[in-house]
Amino acid sequence: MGSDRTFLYGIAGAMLVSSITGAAFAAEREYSPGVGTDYPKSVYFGDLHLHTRNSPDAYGQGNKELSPADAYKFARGEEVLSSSGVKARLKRPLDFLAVTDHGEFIGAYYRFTAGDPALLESNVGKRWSGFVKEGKPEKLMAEFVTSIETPDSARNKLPEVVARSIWSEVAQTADQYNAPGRFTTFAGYEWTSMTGGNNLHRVILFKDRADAVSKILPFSAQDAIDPEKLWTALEGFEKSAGVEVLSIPHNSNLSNGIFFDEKTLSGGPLTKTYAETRMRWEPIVEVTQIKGDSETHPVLSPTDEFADFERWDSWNIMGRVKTTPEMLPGSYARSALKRGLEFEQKLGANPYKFGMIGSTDDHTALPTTTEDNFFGKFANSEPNAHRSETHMASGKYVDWQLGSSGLAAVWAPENTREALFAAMKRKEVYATSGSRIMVRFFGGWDYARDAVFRDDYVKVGYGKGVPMGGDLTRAPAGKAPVFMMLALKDPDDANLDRIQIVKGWLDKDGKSHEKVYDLALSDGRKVDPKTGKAPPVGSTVDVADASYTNTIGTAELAAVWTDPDFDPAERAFYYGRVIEIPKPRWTAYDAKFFGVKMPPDVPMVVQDRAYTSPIWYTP
Amino acid sequence: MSRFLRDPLVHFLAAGLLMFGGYMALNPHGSAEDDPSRIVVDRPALLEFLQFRTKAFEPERANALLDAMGPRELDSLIRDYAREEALYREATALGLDKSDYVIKRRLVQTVEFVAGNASAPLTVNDAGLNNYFAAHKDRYAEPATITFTHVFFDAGQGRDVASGRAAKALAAMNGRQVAFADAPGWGDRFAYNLNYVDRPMDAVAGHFGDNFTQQLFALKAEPERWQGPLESAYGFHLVMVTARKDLVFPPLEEIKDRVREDYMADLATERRDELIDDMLKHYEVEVTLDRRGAVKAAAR
Repeated sequence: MGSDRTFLYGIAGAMLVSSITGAAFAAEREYSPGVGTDYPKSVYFGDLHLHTRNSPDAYGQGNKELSPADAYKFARGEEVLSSSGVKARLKRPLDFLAVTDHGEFIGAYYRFTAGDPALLESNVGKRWSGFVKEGKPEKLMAEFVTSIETPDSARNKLPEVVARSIWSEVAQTADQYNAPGRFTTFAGYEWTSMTGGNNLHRVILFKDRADAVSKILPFSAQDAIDPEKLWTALEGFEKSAGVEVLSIPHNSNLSNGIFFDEKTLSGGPLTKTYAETRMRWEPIVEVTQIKGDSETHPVLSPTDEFADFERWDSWNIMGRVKTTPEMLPGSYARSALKRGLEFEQKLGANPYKFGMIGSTDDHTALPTTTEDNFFGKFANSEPNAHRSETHMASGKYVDWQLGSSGLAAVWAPENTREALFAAMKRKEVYATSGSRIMVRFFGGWDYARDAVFRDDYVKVGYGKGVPMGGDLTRAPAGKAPVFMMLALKDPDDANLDRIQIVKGWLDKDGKSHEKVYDLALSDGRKVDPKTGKAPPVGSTVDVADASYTNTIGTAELAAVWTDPDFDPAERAFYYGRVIEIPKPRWTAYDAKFFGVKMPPDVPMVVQDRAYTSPIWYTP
Repeated sequence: MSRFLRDPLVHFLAAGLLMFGGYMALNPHGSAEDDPSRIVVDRPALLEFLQFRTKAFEPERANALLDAMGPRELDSLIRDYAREEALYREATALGLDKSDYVIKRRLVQTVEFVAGNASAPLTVNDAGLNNYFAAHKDRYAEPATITFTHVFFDAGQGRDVASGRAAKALAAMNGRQVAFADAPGWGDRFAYNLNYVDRPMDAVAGHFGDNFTQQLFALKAEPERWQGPLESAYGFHLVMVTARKDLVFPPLEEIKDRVREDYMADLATERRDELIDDMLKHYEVEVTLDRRGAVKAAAR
């Protein structure tokens, strides 16, 4: 106790001194020009969710050979042969990549076929060999799914020597391809929890090197399917191995409402501890990827004309239970952020105060996100003339529904594990549905109306406010928050249609609301004051030719915006959304390339977009 | 498959892993029981081998695949088969003969391991390292980079306007010999950065687009002169290129540890292959494959 107190006094003393010296020198120039400019100057684009042959489903679906090493090579720009024999290459390499295979039987199916003796001699291996001898390979297949939904860690335990060797290989391969400053890699895996066919999947991401990461073994859904147990395990990792770790939820759209629920998975009420623990481990959520977009839904946001995007809302992930409207609020990010405000009011802590990223979730080891270079979900949806008709994993969703999405964008001072990981923790990240759209988003109280058009707009952004992921509190008397937003098109992709701010807030009765504001529009369009809507940007897409022109839209949109409806007593969040002009969807490129006719219900045009992490206002 | 199953995930996994059914159907090939030093490579042996290797137990496809193979491909297939068979025989010669595939794999891996470690510890001399480095230089190359600053003219108000302003500014800036550090204020606000130091092509393309980047990397470094204008996706740019680094091959001294590691790894593989090849010499490999043309090329 005594030393704690001394420590606190020490901090108080240091703060006093620094505030005095800060004030004394505030008006003076800094001698060293670098002082005060250590803010992020670059945005890095990458994928934090990718599967290889090490995932049982990827392997079973035909990715027999493409390894984590192949994935890293591909992501850093090399040409790789896909599982179905199609040459693949990225037009521009990614800045970072995490290979995150399913933690359940990670690498084991591949090892089993390759004849790993230790695996073959284990109980699991003998059981699998038994299925093979019986001529019932489907039983082997069932093992992965059964093990996820009904955890039985004793029954599914791989020999320690096998599990350790696979996991340390995963971590070592990541280290081998990590090139600080140029290409960053992360070790990771997926915790593939499901219940009743409802998705609760998370990516588990490690910041550290293989020597530390190899000290642990993945805590998988075979150990437990309750996220609260996962968080306890993650805390154990940090304590026992000295690593830093994050959990990134995804595909909330396929959870039938249980991802951002109003109760815990075990049926208890949400508590302050639950909220704090969840946000300790899950500061960001993957809201857009190949299996659909999770920002919002037309039923939840009926007046938002961009709410209907790459929508997967017929069934849960296993196609067992139909999705009904009352499930939707727990399945989408915007409604979850609103729910978060409600719970914060009640509990004093917000369980859903997350930033947003995109990633691919491709199972081909090939993270592709542009419409003209789409390599699908599994080997069967790699480029071929019939992939619009086949079903994903022989389930209910059809492969034309796959989206060529998405990317994680991270604002960081440099492209290293440390810098990227720190940015994720402070939520200075955003999602794109595939294009490399650049977005700056700041909130404060004193930005000048022209601040975003000045050379030093970034310095002002950080100096007088907070970036995406940040907090505003205690509104100065008579002031409303001011937001500075700037978006730049992907230099080799479509122009921009508009930039917007999505606001969510909690009224005096504890009820949450949302509203979308157009901040800037291309082509001189104006918002109609009566309807509050702007006319659509139009389209230059020639579907048959799979082409478009950048003769509409614009390369850059920027605005400084003050919330006209601000009430300092009401909790709120604000996030930026950028919309591109329409361009041909991958289905249109396929139709032209393979000379096939797409079924009439297949969308052929897409408006890619970006979502920033929110900035929250708390009274 | 679907009639067995209700779960789609199970279903697709099953479809993919049907091959396991093949384990029991295909028995280890014991064609040379009479003469343990003779390995017979015939069609059934290669078909089996091929199916395990491609992890697809489809005899018809394997047949077609085998017949379509070029001489070199076939040669390496036969070689690999003979090697595995030889190692297996070596292993069974140790007295642990079982027909179980598990045991077979265990024995083969044990002998491979023994072969890899049986030799004296690997040592690397400087001459060897130098030769290795010379042969694999490309693997260690650093990409070309550029250092430049730029003045931006936004095309948001019209492409022709921006282009005209850029041309005018170019003359003025070169006339007044405006320095690298004094560029701010001459053009419009650029949303990314003004200065780029030692940036590789991909990083520049990420901020300016391919077209601009191709033009930029074609310029010579002229630290005192403004060049351009170059057009990007956003407008026109006057650039001052102060340094260019072509593809760099770092000297061995700077990356010696990395090269040594790679060299040792390659050496170990080579050594192991040699030992296995020596082992293989104790066997007579007889190829009796009914396949015209290629057979001769394959026999050694």
